[in-house]
Parts: sequence; structure tokens; C-alpha cells
Amino acid sequence: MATKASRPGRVLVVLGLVILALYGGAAAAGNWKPRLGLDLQGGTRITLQAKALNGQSVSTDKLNEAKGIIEQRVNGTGVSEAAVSTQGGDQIIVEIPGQDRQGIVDQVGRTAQLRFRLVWASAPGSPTGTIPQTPLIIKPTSSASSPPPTSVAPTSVAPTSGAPTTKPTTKPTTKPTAKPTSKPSTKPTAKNRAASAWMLRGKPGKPKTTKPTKPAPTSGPTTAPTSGPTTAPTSGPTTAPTSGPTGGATSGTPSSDWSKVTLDQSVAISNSAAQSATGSGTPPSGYEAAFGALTAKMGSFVCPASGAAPIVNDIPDQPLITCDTNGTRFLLSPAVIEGTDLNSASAGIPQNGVSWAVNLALNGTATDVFANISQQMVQSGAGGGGLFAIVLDGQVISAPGFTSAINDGNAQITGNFNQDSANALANSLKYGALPLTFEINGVTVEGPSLAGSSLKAGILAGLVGLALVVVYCLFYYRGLGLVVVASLVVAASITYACVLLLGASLGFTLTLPGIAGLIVAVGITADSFIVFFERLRDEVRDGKSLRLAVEAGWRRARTTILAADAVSFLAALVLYIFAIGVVRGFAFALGLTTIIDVFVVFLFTKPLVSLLARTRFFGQGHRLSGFDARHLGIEGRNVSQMARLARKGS
Amino acid sequence: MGKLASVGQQLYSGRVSFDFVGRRKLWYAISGMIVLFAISGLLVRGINEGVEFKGGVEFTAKIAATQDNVSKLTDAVAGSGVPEVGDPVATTSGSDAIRISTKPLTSDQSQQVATALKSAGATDVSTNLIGPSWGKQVADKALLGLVVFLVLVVMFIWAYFREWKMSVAAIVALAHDLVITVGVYAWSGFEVTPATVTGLLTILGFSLYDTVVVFDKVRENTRKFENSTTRTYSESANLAVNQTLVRSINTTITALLPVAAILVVGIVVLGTGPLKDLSLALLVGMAAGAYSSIFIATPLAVQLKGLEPAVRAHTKRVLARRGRLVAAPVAAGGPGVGGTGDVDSGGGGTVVPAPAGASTSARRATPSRRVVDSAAAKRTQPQRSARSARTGSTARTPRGGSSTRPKKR
Repeated sequence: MATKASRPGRVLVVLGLVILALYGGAAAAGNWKPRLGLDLQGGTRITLQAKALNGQSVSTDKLNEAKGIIEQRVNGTGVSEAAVSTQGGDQIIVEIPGQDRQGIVDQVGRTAQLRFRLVWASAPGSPTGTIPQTPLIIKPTSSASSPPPTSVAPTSVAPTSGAPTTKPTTKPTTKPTAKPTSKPSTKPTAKNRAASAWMLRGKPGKPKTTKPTKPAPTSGPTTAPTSGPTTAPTSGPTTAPTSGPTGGATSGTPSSDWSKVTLDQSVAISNSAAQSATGSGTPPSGYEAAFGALTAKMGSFVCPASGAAPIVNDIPDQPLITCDTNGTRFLLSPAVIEGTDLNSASAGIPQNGVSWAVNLALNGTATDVFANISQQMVQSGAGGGGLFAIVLDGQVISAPGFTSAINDGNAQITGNFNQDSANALANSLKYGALPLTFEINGVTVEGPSLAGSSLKAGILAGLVGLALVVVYCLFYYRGLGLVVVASLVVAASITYACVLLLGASLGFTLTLPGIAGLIVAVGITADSFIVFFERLRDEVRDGKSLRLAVEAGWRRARTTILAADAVSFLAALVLYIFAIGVVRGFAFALGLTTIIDVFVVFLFTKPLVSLLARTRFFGQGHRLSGFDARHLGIEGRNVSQMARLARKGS
Repeated sequence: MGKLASVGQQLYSGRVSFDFVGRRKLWYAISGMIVLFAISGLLVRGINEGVEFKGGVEFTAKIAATQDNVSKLTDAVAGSGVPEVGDPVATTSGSDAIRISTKPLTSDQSQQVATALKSAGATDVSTNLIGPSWGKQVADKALLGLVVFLVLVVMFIWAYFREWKMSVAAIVALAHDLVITVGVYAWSGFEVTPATVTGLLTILGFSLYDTVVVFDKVRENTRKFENSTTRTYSESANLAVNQTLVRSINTTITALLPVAAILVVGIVVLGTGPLKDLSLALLVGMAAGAYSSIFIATPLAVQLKGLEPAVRAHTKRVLARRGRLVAAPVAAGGPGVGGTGDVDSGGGGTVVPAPAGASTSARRATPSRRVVDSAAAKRTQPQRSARSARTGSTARTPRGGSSTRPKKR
């Protein structure tokens, strides 16, 4: 009996230590206020639904990649503190606290657009612009990166093992150096030349075998020459300046039908641009006026200062004026290959190399186009071929040149990549290849002052609810009511600590439904006390002394409390899994408080009642204790008497 | 209050007893009518789906909630240059907000409308834009959640009680609560939002909680019903309900108080919104849940259990024995506890004086008692003699103290 009697106190001390530890953790996190949800502090919440392009289901990997790209986009808009999360397997939630940011919805939710275009003209971002970086080089993946692809590549006329190794090593060193030295001296567009130093190189030895296939497989060469010249003269150069420097879309400019330009023509422009002193290509006949308008527009185009993606309208079959991250301006051809034709992209250090490289692999159709382009560009001569621009979301992320034809669709971009930049480019390519589109499911904008009144209402409701429960318990259970109050205080303090800790560790935010959940939980928590107390009183009615009744009543109430809490928790869990949006906060709060309820009842209420049962006030059934005979309806047989009897007996 | 508390004791001892189990036909009839009413509401009026389920845009404008402002804002929306708004519906929400809902818009359009609202005098505007296909998904998911939860609950109850009869009774009670809550929404025309559905699912948990507590006691009381010579199975079960009655009332009150606080504060301060949606569904559902666990779940469980041959045989045995005792003049009657006078029998409960235990000795016997005993023996509740025996030498004085209870055995 003596050892048993000492236990309740010890349990209470342990619980006190646990609570102290919880608050110690919260103090370590350094935040004494819970993180508030958008509905309580104001902000914008965008729900995007990811959809697979090809009708497949959205995989977790793909969704996480999409989350990454959307995070980048949101950050790119200069928004701070934005939280991007996934939900329900196919949704992405963007939460931006503060003012109304509905304006970024379209930007954030658009599909990742990766397109490969050809550089028709380019210009440095500013007259004082310097060469952004040392040359990047592109090698064929199959020859330089790792042996396995080489041996596997089935269609290629296998080059001797000596050839691939020599080519990559010689080419990068000679070409890049040759170009910058010859060209910059003659013209001011030094930056442009820098870009041209990036090399795309195909598999050595291959070009000769595939050359007969040179005619572009995509566009009919017969129609293009005829339609081009006829439409071109009608184009008014006067319309060109109207769209101004802000818009990258070129569809509104001289009405030459750029979509009719053939791939060969496009490549020719690009090649001529590489040869040209101005960095600007020569258009096919009939397109001169329109092309002039485009280059003029490019000349006046202003790139975003931060290197962020310019706001442009990326239309696949139209030329595009845009920038790269260094502020170099580009006039690009209509898209020659779509990003969805990219099978894979990865970053790594090639087996024979020492520096980082980015590998990319194209699918079947794109491989042919790519082969065609690379062959023509490599052929174009001493000044180097045109440049091949990789455009993600309207921004040029890389613009390498070819040094050899790439016929199997496997290319490797090399240069002065470090691990980060190589991974960044590979990721960008992956995002672009992501076969997902986004549909805007919902946009919620909470005005800050409306959110403020929600917070006040939530707190007020909580206080009123708590007060009502306390008053009722004191009224009905008198002295025991104080135990209820104390238990609720303990439960509340644990809950608050948990909310703080979860906010710091898991990013749990308190929303209005979450507050409602906490308030509803007050009732559920009080329920377990009532179950216990009623059992306790039943035992006393049966004639047990209070001390014995506490143990006997507890044994029976325990099962009921656990079963009931299990049901509550089950409900909260199912709610959490199936609830949508902010309502999840309700389920989370309910589940959390259910667990806390079990802790409090077991580690606080029961030990406390055990301790109190030893006091004169409770043990002898004081009129205000909640255990007096009249209150229990057992007048004439009083608790104190029973207790005394029990004490004598023990 | 003293009275209320002592009722607890009387209910516990069985001296005051509401016949929950015996009068099941009455409760079934009452519930049946309510459920029919609820279903007809669902059929006739349907559910007023919120914007989250059907898609559209809901604007909340912070502005004094006057009729003038309502028409002003409605005009502003109509004149915002967005033809897709259709017929905007504006209602006041709380004291300083007006809500306007429109047909689905694009994000740009909703921004345009929000700007129009601001220029019409709103100091702050919240927007909730839900795409139409999304709304459908939300509704489907809510329905799926409901089904999954019901399945889990059936499994839980089955695992906990290890008896399909109790499981069936608990499920029927749950369905009863759900239908009634949905019916209230149908007839009142309150908007059903995801928050409402959440409230509805929470009710399931709560209603189940109530039922679990009552069934726990029923199980305890009927564990060795075969050994009892004085009480039939259904009488034991009814005693359990009575014994947990105070607890049921107390837990329901403590659970409803915070919910009511949320509801009142939510409506007064915020008007419509998740607080109101959640708490309204909870309030209705919890009240229905407390009712159904007592009036529907237990009687149904007892009725199903009564089909078992063992229970039937036992009931027959007890009644036969009781009949013999009643016939013997010495043993007739029971303590004349004035339960009827103390307890208001409102709420459909009837107070039936408990017949004496089989072993009672000399007693006051009244003619009326005999009638009750013989005609309605099945419904009457004997006191808990077995437990009373445990009190040992302590003499018990019933309220009023007019008669002294004899020692047991």
C-alpha cells in the first residue's frame, strides 16, 4: 500500500517534467506564437491540379518535380515566405501570406514549357556587358560520358574506340578559343560570341552515314518557299514597334507567316547569324522586312535585371524574343523540338572527364530533327554553325553550338559546369520534360483585416466554450470540478506546446477550422473526466471508501475512455486523410487533442484524484467536494463514515 | 442541483427507471417519423451545395452589412465588366461583411470583380475561387471519406464488441444521426460546404463514442445474465442505460457547450463561414447522437439479442419465477419509492416503480404495483439486488426515509 500510495505524486512530477521539456523545445525553436494559417493572417492560396499529358496517372516523383518547378517560379516572382506543398497525390498548394497575390496565379500555374529553338540573332544585355562565362562545350553522350551507352547504341555505325576519345578532347579546346579571338575584334557583340562558344557535339564518325537524310523530315520543303515570299511583301514594318519592348511575343509583328518557315530555312538563318558580324542572321527572301522588325524589337527588348525569366508569350510556331539568365537578348526561331520530346536529362561527371556535364536524350522523332539540325550546323563552315537554344518557360537556359552531328539523340553539354550549375540545368531540362499540366482548382484570397476578425472570433469562441464547460463542471461536480479545470489547463498547455513544436518542426499552421477543432476537443476531453467521475461516484455509492473507489472506478473507466478516444482518433485520422484544404486543420487538431486527452487523463487526472482522495476535504465527503452523501443521493450513509471504516480496515 | 445529483443515485440503484428498452416501439416510431421527415426534406428540398462543391467564386467584402451596401455591391459586381458573373447573390454575413457569390470565373476576372468591390466601398475583400471540376472532386472525396469511415467504424465496433448484434445497432444509430443531420440541412437550406461534411464525419465519431460508453455498461451488466434469477436480459440492459444516463447527459452537455459557443460566436462575429458550418453540423449531430445511443442503439441491440434462444429461455424463466412470487401474497410488492414524484417524466421517459427483488421479505404492497408487475413485467426494472448485497451491513435509507430497505440475503 505504501509503495502504491507514493506513485501518483511521482507520476505528476514526471508529467510536469514532460511539459517543461515540451516548452523547452518550443523555447529552443524560439517561437512563442503558433504559426497562423492564411485564413487567420491573410494571404493567397492557390490549389493546382496536376494532370498527366498522356492520360497516365501522376506519380509522386513527377509531382515532387512539379513542386520544385513551381517553387522556383514562385520565388522567381520575388515573393518571400511562400510555401509550396503537395496534397492528395495530384495537387500542389501554393500559400503566400500577406497581401493579395492573385496576380501570380497564371504565372505559377502554367505548364512547364521547354522548347528547343534556333538562335536567329543575339545581342548583349547592355553595351557594357561582359562575357558572362567561359565557354561551355557539348559532347555526344555515347562517346564521352560512359562506355555502356556507346556499346548499346544500336543504330550508330560504331566508331572506333579511339575516335570518340580524341574528338572530344581536341574540339573543345580548339573551337572555343578560335571563335572569341576572331570575332570580337570585329564587332561589339562580344556576348553573342560567348554563347556561340558552347558546343553541341554529336557522335563522331556518324555524320557521313546519315547525311543523305538531310532534307528536313518535319516541314515540307515544297510549300515553304512558295508561301514565304508571297506573304512577306504584305507585311508592314510599321506595325513592328507597337508591341514594344516588353512583349516577347512576336506573333503581332509583321505578318509574314513564320510558321511556314521550313526547318532548313530556319537552320540557314541561324547559321548565317553565326557567320554574321552583327550576330544577326539573314532571312529567306520575302521575310526581310519582318525579320528586320524582329531584330529591331530584340534590340529594344529589356531583360529583367535579376536574371529572372522575362514575361514573354512563348508560342511554339512563332519566333521568340527573350533573354538568358545573364541578360543576353535572343531572337529565336519557332520551336524545332518540344520539351516533351526529351526523354531524360541528368547531370554527372563523364567517365573520362573531370568536370561536370549535362546529358540529355531525345525520343525517336526528335532525334531525326536533331540529327538534321546538327548536321547542317556542323557543315556550315569555319565560322561555326548556328546555336541551339534551350528555352524553359520563355527563358534561354542554354544555347550551345554543335561541333559534330548528333544522330542518336543523345547529347552531352559540357563546359565550365560545377555540380550546382550542372544539376540546375539538368533539373530545368527535366522540368521541361515533365508531362504534367496544371489546372487551377481554386484560388483563395483572404483579406488581412477579414482574417484578423476570424482570428478574434476563433479565440473568443474558444474562451467562451472553455468558460461554459468550466462553469458547468464546477456547478455539477463542485470540488471535482476543480480537477476538471486543472486537467483542462494541463491539456491546454500541452496542446499549445505541441502546436508550437509542430509549427516549428513540421510547419503545422493553425487555421480557423483548426481552432474550432481545439475548441470541440475541450468537450471531448471533459467527457473522459466525466466518464471517470461518474464511475467513481458509482463506486462510492456502492459503499466503497473514496480511496478504494478511485482505483476500482478507474479500472472500469479506463477501458471506456480508451475505446472512446480510439473512436475519436479514428474519426480524426479518416478526416485528415479525406478532408480537403484547410478543413484538414480541424482533423489534425482533433486527432492531436485526442492523444493529449489520453495522456492527461492517465498521467494527470487519475493521479491527482488519487492524491485528493487522501485529503480530508474529498476523502470525508465535504459538502463542496462533490462526494457528500446528499449530493450522491446516499444520505444517511456518509462517505466520511465509510472512509473511516475503510481506514480502520486497512 | 441536489435533486439532479440524487437522481443519479436513484437511476443507478434502479429505484428510478426510465423504460428505454421496453418502450422501444415508441422510440422507433418517433425516430422513424423524424427520419422520414428528414428524407423527405432531402428529396423535396435537396441540399444547398456551397461554392466549394459546385464551383464558382465567393467574395467576402468588409463593409457595414446594410441593405444599401448589399445592393451597392451587387451593382458593382454586375458593372465590373465581367459578363460571366451571371446573377451574383449577395447576403450579409455578420455585422460588417457581405458575401457575394458568382458563377465560375477565371483568376483574372475574379481580381477584376474584387477591384470593383473595393472601389464600391469595401475596405477588404476575400476571394474564394473554386473551379467547377474541382468542386465535383471535393464532393466525391467527401463521399468517399464518409463511406470509408463507415466501413472502418463497422470494423471497429465489431472488433470491440465481438458481436454483430451490437455492431448493427450502433450502425443503425449512426445512420439515424446522419440522416437527421442531413435532413436538418435540407429543410433549413443551410449551405453544405466541406466544413459541413467534416462536421458530419466528426459526428459519426462522437455518436459512436456515446454508443460505446452505453454499450460498455450494457455488456458489463449482462455479462452473466444467465445466472440472474431476478432480471431479464432486457431489464439488465435497461438498467445499464439508466445507470449511464447521468453520464450521457453530462457528456452531451459538456460537448455541446463549446460547440454552441463556436456556433454563436461564429454567426454573430463572422456570419457564415467554416466556424458556423462546422459547429452547426456538430450541434445537430451530437444532439441526435446522444438521443440515438439511448433510445435507438440499446433497444435495438437488446431486441436483436432477444432473438437468441438462450436469452429467450432465460427471460421466460425469470418471468415465470416472478409470476410465482407475485402470486404469493407475502412476497408481493416492492418498496414504495416515490420515483414518480421526484423525476419529471418528460422527454418521453416514463418512470416505472421498480418491483421488488425476488428475495425481498415483508413489504408494503399496493394494488397498483401488482398491476404493473403482472401486466408489464417485462418492462419493469427491479433494483440491483446483487450489488445491494455487496453493501453488507450498511443500512440503506431510500429518499424520504419512510421505509427501510431490508438487508439482502
